[in-house]
Amino acid sequence: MVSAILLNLALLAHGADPRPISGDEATANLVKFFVTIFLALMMITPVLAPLFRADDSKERSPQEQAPPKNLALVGWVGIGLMLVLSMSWWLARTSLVELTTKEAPLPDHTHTIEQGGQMAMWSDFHAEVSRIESGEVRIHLSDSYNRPIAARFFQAEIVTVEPTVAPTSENSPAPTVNETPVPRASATPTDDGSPRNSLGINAVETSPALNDTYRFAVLPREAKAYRVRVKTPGWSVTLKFEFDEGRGRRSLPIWCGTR
Amino acid sequence: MELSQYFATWHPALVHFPIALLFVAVGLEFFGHIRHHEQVSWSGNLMLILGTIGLCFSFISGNFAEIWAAHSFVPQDPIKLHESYATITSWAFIALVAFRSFLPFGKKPHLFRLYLAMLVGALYSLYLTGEQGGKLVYKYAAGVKGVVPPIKATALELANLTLTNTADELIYSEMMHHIFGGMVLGLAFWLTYQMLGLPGVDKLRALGPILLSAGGLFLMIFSDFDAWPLSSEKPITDPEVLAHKIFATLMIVIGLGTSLVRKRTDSDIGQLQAHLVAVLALSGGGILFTHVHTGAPYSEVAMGVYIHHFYLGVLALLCGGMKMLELAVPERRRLWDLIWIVLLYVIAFALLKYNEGIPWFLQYF
Repeated sequence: MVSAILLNLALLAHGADPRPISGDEATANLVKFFVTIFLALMMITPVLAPLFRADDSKERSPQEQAPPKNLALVGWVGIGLMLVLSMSWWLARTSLVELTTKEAPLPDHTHTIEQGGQMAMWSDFHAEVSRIESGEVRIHLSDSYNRPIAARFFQAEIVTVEPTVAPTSENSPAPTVNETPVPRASATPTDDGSPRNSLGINAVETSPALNDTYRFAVLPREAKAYRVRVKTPGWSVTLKFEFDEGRGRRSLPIWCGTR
Repeated sequence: MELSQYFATWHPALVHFPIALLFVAVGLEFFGHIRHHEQVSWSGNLMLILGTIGLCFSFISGNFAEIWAAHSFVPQDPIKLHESYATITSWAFIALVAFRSFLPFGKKPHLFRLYLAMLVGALYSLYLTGEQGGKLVYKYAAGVKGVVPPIKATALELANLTLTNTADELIYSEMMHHIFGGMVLGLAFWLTYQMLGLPGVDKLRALGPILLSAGGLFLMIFSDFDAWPLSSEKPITDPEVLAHKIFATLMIVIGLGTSLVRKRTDSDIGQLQAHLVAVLALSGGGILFTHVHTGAPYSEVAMGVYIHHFYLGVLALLCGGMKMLELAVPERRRLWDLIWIVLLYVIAFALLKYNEGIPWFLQYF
């Protein structure tokens, strides 16, 4: 189902933009195409026109049959016109289909977990937080189409908190994500305040990964519940995550050989 | 990014030229038509041409401004709307300049009235472009230093800013430019051979059209490895794919045209063929000016691509311009021919040395 929707989106998308084309962009494409082709044809016509005039005069002569080279001329011109018409049809048809086809709605944003962590969502943002057994916490951000957002475009700070009491059984079904997104109305603009104590206690600032795909911080191994404050341009949101302890996803067994 | 910011500062300065010139041009054209005043009409035409040239340069500087504004977290949808209006306006005025060149003063009054009506439509499009550009500044704070854009950046916009081309994409694109550098070099050799009138020139005349059509066919298939016919990831409505397919169509059509010209016996075939290749250069130059890099539209690679396409577009337009000069000043034909062929060699060299990203010659600074 999800793959079918994503395929549908891919077919409707144009370029890097995953959304269907807009009316103004389709119009701009059509104007650009037709004007270019029109100009080129207009400029080559004076050069080729004498060929047709010569052929017309020959056809008008009752004694002469049209020579075989006329057929070749008509054939090549026909091929050229067919090509232009095919391209026009292709562009016009695709534009029309894209404009009239409704974009398939995303089923509650398809919270696809890519990194083995836990997913939280606000607006069209997705934050996936994963915990490594060594105590490292990674924060990946993506949009509603699961396209990654580079670490340079957001900030994050982490505060360790006490895990929620009353864990469920070891084989708890779907992991629980304790997120507390700040409503849009009360979301605070990005500020330059100190990362420490922004949530009251021991906030740890994260660093961008070398490949710029996520932010991370190394915390004590025993800490397994966190509040993560994510700041993007214009947004600030606080999310709560728990790992292991029977709730939520398990930490990832990744160990660095040098430690 | 500093380079993008530098070129972006040209945009608000350049946009005044098309706005002022084109509005006055339309006024003069109306006045000249109503009062049957030839000199006023001639001035209107001149202003129309100058305003359209101004439009092209505003468009290119706008590409850089777009990158800079997006990186300042200005919402991308209003930027794209501004770009779409600008595309419509630019191509509408290019078409009208061409249309006007076939309308001598006082003749074909019906066509002239149609031209005037179309001018009003194009002017409205220019107004919409300017209005949207103004909104980008006073509503979204585009290019305003020291001000945080009032609209929050969406995840979609940040993901767009994150986009980069893969190494495979960059290598493929460079390879395609190098292949076409070889083809332009072949065309330049072909035209040089004809200009020098070396032995066997009649037989050689068949080669150019074959080269052009074969190149067009190759481009139609291999232009984008993520678009038809190699893949269906990107449709033809993607502006970058569309630009490549228009190039391919033009190459095939003009290849057929240069082949048909060989059947003419009443004039210099070599010159006519060169004239058609110049048409390709003119149309191609126009496309290069409005080329949009959609794979990673706000990346540093995109900025480099715009610089590359700017100077390639200028060279292509100069090539076409030489042929226009040849029509206007035929007594200097030998000189125009020489410059035209030298320009083709320069284009071939530029394509053969093409790299994705900041142009190689700027990397020394």
